[in-house]
Amino acid sequence: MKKVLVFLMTAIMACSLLLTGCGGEEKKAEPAKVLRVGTEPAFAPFEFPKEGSSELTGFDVELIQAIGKQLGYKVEISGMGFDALIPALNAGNIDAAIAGMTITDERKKAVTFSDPYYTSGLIVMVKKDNADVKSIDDLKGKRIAAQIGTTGEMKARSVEGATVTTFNTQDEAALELKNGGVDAVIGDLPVMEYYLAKGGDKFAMTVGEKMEAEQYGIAVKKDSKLAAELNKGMDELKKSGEFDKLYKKWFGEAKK
Amino acid sequence: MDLNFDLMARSFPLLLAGAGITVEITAMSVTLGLCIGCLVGIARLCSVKPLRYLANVYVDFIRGTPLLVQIFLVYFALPGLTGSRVDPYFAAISACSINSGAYIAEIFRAGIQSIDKGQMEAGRSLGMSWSQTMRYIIMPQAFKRIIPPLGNEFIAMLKDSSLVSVIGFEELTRRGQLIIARTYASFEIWMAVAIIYLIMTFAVARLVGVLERRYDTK
Amino acid sequence: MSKTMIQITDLHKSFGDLEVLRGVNLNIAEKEVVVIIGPSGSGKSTLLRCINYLEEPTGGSIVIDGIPLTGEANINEIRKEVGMVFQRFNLFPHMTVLQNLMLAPMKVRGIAKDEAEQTARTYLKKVGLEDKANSYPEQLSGGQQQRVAIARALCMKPKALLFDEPTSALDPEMVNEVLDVMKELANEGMTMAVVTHEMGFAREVGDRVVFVDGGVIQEEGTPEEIFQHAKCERTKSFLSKIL
Repeated sequence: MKKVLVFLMTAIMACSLLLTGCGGEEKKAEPAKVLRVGTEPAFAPFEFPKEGSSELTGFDVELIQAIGKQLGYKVEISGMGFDALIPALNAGNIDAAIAGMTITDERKKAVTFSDPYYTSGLIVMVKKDNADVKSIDDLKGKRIAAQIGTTGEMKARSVEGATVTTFNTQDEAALELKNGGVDAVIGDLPVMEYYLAKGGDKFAMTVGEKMEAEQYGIAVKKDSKLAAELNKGMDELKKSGEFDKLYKKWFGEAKK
Repeated sequence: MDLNFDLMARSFPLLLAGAGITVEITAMSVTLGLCIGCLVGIARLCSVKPLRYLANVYVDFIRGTPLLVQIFLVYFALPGLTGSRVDPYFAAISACSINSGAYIAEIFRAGIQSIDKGQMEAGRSLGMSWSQTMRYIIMPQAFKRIIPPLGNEFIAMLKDSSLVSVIGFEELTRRGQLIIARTYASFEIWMAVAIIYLIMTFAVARLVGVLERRYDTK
Repeated sequence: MSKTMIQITDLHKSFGDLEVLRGVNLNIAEKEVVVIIGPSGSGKSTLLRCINYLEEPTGGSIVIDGIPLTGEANINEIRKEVGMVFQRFNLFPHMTVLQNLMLAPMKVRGIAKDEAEQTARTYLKKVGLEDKANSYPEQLSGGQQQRVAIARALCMKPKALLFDEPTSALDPEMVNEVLDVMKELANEGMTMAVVTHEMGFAREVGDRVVFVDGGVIQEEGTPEEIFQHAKCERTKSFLSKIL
């Protein structure tokens, strides 16, 4: 039994090493400049499918497309689970991840971030008829939903005695609140606001102050030179005023 | 690639606890699925038309839709219909057992049909009713033939139960996802998860083999 | 003659477009042994299976011991009284010989276990297999299995026994051990209807021989009348082929 396992593990590892090796060579041989970008496509207004189509849109999507265009890349976006983004970067499946990802020290150990492009924060969302919860301090011992691998999940887990349930998308976490499975959702402020604006306000509302001034960045493989390149592209967009135009389009006000 | 074996070792207890939940869901679902499957399998062979029709619709619907969709239906769509929330444990068990029941129904149907027609005739000619003959003559024989495919179903459910992770149910796969979401060590953790699944399916396969041999010698 | 045990009137049976029985009239008296002969496909087995309602008649009536057979409604009642022995024995392979014999008396007649076992052992002894009580069917020879099947039918204490080619699936050397048991039953006064190709048995044991062909009874009479003085051409031609 033990021997079989050891053999199996060695075999699988050998295969995967071989595969990653092959992948690297292939990339070098590819002449066209392609930027493979990963995102988690259920995070409006940053990334979500266009109505009646599987094509993605949103602030992040348009931003990376503009940066890519600026730098002469053909941008290819693929959707995956939020928790799969960093592993995908490390495995070389994608070159960059833009998914409303907060720059944290923990994540910096695994990947390299571009300059921040958006300042966000966390907020608590509860049902409209909930009069007990005024802020995160009232969530002790309560049930909280969050999206897996997000700063919202980490925040929820820091609440004393709380039971945390994780979902693959922000929408599902909100649905859990609607169905009464949890008392609150902790998630990113702009996303929650967008959700409420799109009809979520029929049953839910946000409470308390915005927490943890968080900054979103574009993640690339650890120590990749791509980060500097992306920063250069973003700077040019800011100078040309295109960045502000995008910001205004999605958030209704110019960047502070 | 430098592998973090230390993390792998540290994660094992957490993953094993998840594996316990995986086994629990699977055992509950297959047991309930066995009850459903036994009744539905017989209903598919019975001469009462509406009953047979209903059983066919059930089996066709379940086998024709993915388990993942069924889990979403029970957990996220059902509350919209009934207005009351569905407990995740209940949702996981009911979706899995309803799913398993359809496959087990087919196993039962095939098992019953594989029993010689003369057995039913012999039972009936002795004055036993259809259900008595089914219970004392047909089912005990069919059950013996059903053990290997039932074992396969158990193994399939052991693996498919990973789908309940989408409703936040922290079984083995979800535990793995959660650890990776914090540590980003996808290779090490998925490797550990795979090994645990492998050990479980291997053990079940061996157990089925033992059961099969025991029943074979009567 | 004593009272009528089985009364068959204008019995019809079709399988789809194929008409297998086309108006059979047959009365079997109590304690009578009727041997049914005929070429294969003549409908003789179907006739027997209709009496036990293993095939549903398409027309006509069957009355057993004064009770008209009306389908599923009273079939279990009738079957309690009429035993059936099959060509392929149909013993229950997952049970011992003793369990095979005790099941129906306990479940259908509600007889206590001890009594059922006593009855079972009595009949096992009668068919000469008391030492096989704890064997499984697959451990027995074909002839032994068929004798167990007869004992199983007897345990229900039936008023009549139906035999559907009971020796056709047996190796030649085992035919006699089964026929001997059947002869003994006949001598004891059991009402029997036997479909068989064993003409020796028909001649020796049968009170009456019935020749079936084309879904109807062509001719019937005592063994002597049929085997020596057959009137019908079909009967003569059939007998000339097998004797």
